[in-house]
Amino acid sequence: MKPIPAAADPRGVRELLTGNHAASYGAMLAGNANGGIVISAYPITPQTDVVKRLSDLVADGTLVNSRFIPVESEHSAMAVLIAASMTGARTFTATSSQGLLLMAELIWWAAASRAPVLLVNVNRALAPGWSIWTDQQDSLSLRDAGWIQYYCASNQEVLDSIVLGYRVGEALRVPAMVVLDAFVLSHTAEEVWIPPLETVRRFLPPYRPQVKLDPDDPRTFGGLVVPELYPSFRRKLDRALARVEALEPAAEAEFARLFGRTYRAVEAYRAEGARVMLLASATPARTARVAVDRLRERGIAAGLVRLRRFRPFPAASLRRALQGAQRVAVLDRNVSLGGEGILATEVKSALYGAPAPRPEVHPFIAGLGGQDITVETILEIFERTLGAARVPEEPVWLGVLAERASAGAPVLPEQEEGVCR
Amino acid sequence: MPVRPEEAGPRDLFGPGSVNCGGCGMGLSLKLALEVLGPRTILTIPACCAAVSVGAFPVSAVGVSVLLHAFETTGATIAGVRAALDVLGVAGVEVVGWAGDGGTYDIGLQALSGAAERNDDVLYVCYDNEAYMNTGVQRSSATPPGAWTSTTPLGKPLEQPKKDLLAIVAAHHVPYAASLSAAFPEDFRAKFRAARAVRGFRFLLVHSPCPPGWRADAKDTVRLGRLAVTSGVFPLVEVRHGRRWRITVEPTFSGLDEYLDLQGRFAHLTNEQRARIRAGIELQWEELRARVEARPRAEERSGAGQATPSVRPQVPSSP
Amino acid sequence: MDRGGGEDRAGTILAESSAREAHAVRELRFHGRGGQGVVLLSKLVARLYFQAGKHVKEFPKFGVERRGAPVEGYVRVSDQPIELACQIYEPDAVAVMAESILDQVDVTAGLQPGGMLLLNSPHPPETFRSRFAGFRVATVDASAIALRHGLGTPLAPIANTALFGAFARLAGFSRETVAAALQAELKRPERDRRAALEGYASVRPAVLLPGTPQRPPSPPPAFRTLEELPDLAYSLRDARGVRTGTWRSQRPVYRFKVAPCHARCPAGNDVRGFLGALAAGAVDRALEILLETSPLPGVCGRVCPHPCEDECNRIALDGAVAVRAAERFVAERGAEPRWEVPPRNGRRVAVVGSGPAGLSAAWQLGRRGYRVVVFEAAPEPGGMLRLGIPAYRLPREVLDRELARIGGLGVEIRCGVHVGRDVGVEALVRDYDAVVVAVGQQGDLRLGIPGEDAPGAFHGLSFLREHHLGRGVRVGEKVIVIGGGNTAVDVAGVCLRESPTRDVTIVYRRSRAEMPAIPEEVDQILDEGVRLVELASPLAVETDAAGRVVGLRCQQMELGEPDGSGRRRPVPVAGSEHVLPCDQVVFATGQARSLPWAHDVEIAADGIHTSLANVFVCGDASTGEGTVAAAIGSGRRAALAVHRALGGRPEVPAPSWAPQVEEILRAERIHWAHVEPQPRSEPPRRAVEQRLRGYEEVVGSIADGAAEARRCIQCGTCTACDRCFVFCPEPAVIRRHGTYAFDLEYCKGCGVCFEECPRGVIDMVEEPA
Repeated sequence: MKPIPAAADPRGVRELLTGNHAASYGAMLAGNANGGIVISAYPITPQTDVVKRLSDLVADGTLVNSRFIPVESEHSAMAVLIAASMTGARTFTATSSQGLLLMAELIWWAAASRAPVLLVNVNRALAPGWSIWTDQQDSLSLRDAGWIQYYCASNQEVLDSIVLGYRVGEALRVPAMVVLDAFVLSHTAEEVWIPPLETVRRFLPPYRPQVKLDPDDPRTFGGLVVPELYPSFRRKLDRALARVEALEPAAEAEFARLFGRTYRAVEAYRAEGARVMLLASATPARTARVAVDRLRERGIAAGLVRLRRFRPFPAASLRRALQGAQRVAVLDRNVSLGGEGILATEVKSALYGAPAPRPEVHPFIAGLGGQDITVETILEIFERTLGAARVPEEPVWLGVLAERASAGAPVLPEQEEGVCR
Repeated sequence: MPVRPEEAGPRDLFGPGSVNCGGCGMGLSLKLALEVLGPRTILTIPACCAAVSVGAFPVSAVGVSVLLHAFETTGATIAGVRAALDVLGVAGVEVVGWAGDGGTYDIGLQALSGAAERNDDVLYVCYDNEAYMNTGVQRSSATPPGAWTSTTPLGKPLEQPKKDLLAIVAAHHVPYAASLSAAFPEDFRAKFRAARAVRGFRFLLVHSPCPPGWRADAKDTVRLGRLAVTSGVFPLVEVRHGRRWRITVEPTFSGLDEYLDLQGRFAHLTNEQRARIRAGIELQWEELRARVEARPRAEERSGAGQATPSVRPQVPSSP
Repeated sequence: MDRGGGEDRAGTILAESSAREAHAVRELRFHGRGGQGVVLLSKLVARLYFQAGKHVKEFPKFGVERRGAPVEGYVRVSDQPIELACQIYEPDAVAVMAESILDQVDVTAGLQPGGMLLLNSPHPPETFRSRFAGFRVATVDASAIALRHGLGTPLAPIANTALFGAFARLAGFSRETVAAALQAELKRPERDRRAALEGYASVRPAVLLPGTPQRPPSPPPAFRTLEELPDLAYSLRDARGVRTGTWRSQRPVYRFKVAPCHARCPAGNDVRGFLGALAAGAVDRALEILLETSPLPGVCGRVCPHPCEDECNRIALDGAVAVRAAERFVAERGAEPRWEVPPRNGRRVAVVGSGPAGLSAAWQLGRRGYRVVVFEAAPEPGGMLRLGIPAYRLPREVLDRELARIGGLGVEIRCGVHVGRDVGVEALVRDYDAVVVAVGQQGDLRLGIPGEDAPGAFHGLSFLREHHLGRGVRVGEKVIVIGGGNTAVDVAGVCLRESPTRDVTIVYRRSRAEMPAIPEEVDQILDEGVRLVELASPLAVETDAAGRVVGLRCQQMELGEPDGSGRRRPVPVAGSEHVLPCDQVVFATGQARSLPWAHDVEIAADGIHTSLANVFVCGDASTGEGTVAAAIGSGRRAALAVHRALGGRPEVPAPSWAPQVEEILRAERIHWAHVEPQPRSEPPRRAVEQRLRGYEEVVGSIADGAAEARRCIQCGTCTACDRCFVFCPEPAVIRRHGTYAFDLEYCKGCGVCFEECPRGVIDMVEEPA
């Protein structure tokens, strides 16, 4: 482990980092900017590199005045951090998949505790059968819990989102989840600028909550709330999340000024005059740029909208971004089983209040369990969207085996001969 | 929080206005504990009677900082508070988890084990009322054999002995672990003081009679606690570094029938079943004495560990 | 709350409603406390309607239940299927399980004018005229009914089923349906069925109380806007607003009790008090406490038969506290208080007799400012203390020291003056403001058997008196002492020391267990070699031709039924006459009064006042109880009577140091778990061969009086042991400067303090107190 050399370049140090290590350095910068951080984590593939590097940074003193607590489960990791956060510390953890779902109880707990924990989740499919590869099922199934959720498309964005996430989350006392795709980012090395600590310090003030667990101001946190008041507490939490919309643009602008990189909750690519647009998130939204470029070359007015922040859901920005398009294809690397892709539902809901003419929504489900999403996958989505005779009632599942032609009679498992061939 | 001007002391830190049941053994133990712990304490409480007892928002009957948290997380929660205090540079604060037997023996055992194994500098207190009382008396792994609960309507099978939690914690080789009872206040205070005198993970198992759950008269809370100890049902011991066991109150091995008779949860027991309970106590003490005598020679040679402070054994002193 | 349109209007008609004002019961609310069975009550009521084919919903108040805290149950009834899933806000009728709840909960909340209120109360509905004006009120004494049927305890009656019966009656259900509902809900409904049917029969019909309902103002909301609410639920204040004292159905009270040792002490000594001071190391204070009631602690510490020890609660554990030895310890070690001779009040009192009664009266009078002159017939003061009790039991220097203490008050003792012979009582009455006669019992009680006056036959008191006056009493070679009291024992002890052969036998007509002498003294002389012949009744002193005593003819006895004294009466065994050879017989079979006046003077029932104005009597001259302690107590009472007769402030001679003295605390109330066993201290005794060399004191002092005093449990008084304070789970015991009070705002009445008080100072009383 090499120490990070002092930066001569105002942008910091240019490094070749995996997404996991980018997360480690993001946490390190946030920790050092705060004068200390509490980290607690439990290993799970493909998150392990995040905390391995952080343990090293704590052990060698690069990460100053900090505690790394190697707990016995993800559930305990989140419990440690809620408690630490409520005691006034900046807190960090990383997990993935089953680990995130094991935390689920406390994911809700953290938000209602108004504990601005920052969690890096490496998107990984859920078992069984075992899959260590990426999809968004884990984090999106916790979409209602009161967390900010950022879905990153690059390793740089992972690092930057951690810094941004602390800034916004701590200001509002809501937790933030920074999400990156398993392997596609987590284990893929890219160029990443590690910004100078001084710059991070200017952007990210230390976390100093007014009310916390404090022997000099003894209070009891989390007592019984009667039905008359419970809805008001939920409303307050929801209001705090809603304020992200108001707070984030200023933070993004300052971030751009200090670090030279710009982020938006909703990012459009070649949207001008687009008749058909793809709505995607995370790394497929980068691959999709290539597909859009090709379509534009072929004279098709295609465009792309990347949803960077899923919660709070940027409905207004999304409506603006999609304005003018006739058809919107939605790429979901997840599924609400028994329903449709989660993004599709959200997009439809966002467009419900949009002025006519509203774009048609064409939902696609692709890339589950790490199935690769290629330019061809994206092109197929565009082609099927453009070629659709009508608005589909069900999402189109890409990359799945065809059903038997004699649809109607359900195929019983024992009849499924040849499926594995 | 405002202090009652007329009376300094434990009332500042616990009560009045706590909504535990009359005669609550947990409430008594919490009161005595806070007397020793003092105001520079952060208490964490998972789902349990104590979480209700402190009161509903916006009031609290406890005068120190309290964090109420998820059922199974006590070990992790206190570790988190301690880590934050360390990072923030706050010294001189005792971090205390205050959990019931359900939250410790059962659902919280994993987090307890984690914190114990890491030797986090925290004090974990389990008040053991021997069932899930807050939810209406369901069995836990701390429920003694033979006891009625709402999920053991015929009495918990005699083949299912109470989990030996102290031995489990001791097996983590934590610096200090002890069992105690508010019915023996001097021993109780001495153990809290002893726990406070060392750093690292400390564990206190507080026997905590529950009159409603044990189907007993509220007035008999302390009496039951005393009988549990004198009859040998609940040994008062301490163990340092998981190796040096010491009995702090020697039972008279009398009063078992009185102990059982005072509790409706044992009303169904036959004489034969009582005899088996008695035999179980004998076995428990055989094992315990073997542990006391098995003080490792290697440790004595190396002189590891400080001398055990003398805790005055009692029967409380004569009036 | 919108309860929905005209749904389920048709309910059961309350039987007592007038036809004109038919009242449909649709929604019912039941108030009780956690643990009182309010849930069962609402289930039973629901069952009634359910059996009648109605649609019902029954539910508790959704929340946390704590024993003693107010709880509610609800029932909704309709002829139609019930759609409403919301809670009940405007009940048509309310039933209340305990009257004490009325002060804590607004039981009429939401109840419309004319709504029904059924109360568990012994009072008629009209009693609640002002409180529940505008409502229809019915009452039933459900708690009393419950107790009659063995449901619950007086402090916690289970009144739900009796109240249920009353409700069923008001709602127009039959007895059979009541029984059926109980059968359906309970495993063993017999007692509850009887209680319910009695409630059914005895409910007082509802009365519409005139006036309009009084509604308490609703409290302002805690938070008005979202912004006022904190971000998360953290506490904003302590819980003192949560008055958990309202949960209580019984309350603790501190009530001091009389210790049995004190109650039994004939001298009225504050035994518990002096032991408490001694235990605390304050031996001087212990002496002061003793001197309050007795000028003779050194004497009593040696010769008292210590009935206090017979009553000591500690016997139940490990033996009585050695009170007598402790008193002696205090008398020996306590520094003599520096008595300031009180200012003279100008009154003069003559005391006749310087025995313990006279000395006690003189002591108490002297301390109150009286000029006291004690007249003593003998050449030296002390009465029986000097002339009766042998020096090996009571060294004369001990007596002299106590006499000196009394003299230090300015009390004058004139010896050699026999009142009645040298000076008349009438003269004393003339010369003094009052006269206290304390002459004891000087006459020997005669058995009246042949040979009683033979040479070589003596009477016990005369024998001892002559001996102690140094008049050289002859002691034979084979002595028989007749009797079982202390005089007999003392005579035997003296004879043993004086006889060249040390052949001394006590003959007693009952068995040893019945001997009235102090048991230790009997043990002592038997150790020393005195023989005891039990169950032998003297018939005659046998003499030889020269008239010298040669034996005692006795009859063998056996023990029959108990007599008036509680001792088994000896009855003769036929044909068992025999002669015990001896050359001397001493009769120690009792004494007789010889008062110093010729004509009849009556002694009042109190044993103190006489038919002569300002003449009082005390001690054995009055009571004949025969112990030093009784004489001391009697002397003190006489002194107080004098004081009162001469215009002094009345004083209560009984124990009077505690404000709430109501009862004697017995061993059942002692909490033995708090008492560490500790064997009783026994004083050392001189070896027998040493004893017989003379009159050196036989019994020594205990080494550590404080240790023995610490064995005292301090029954019935607060020692500031702190247990109530330590063990209160709330905490609701307030401690200030070593005194305690209950914080009834928060005390839940659990009774732990009552149970844990080691010495029975705390009682539980029913609420409302």
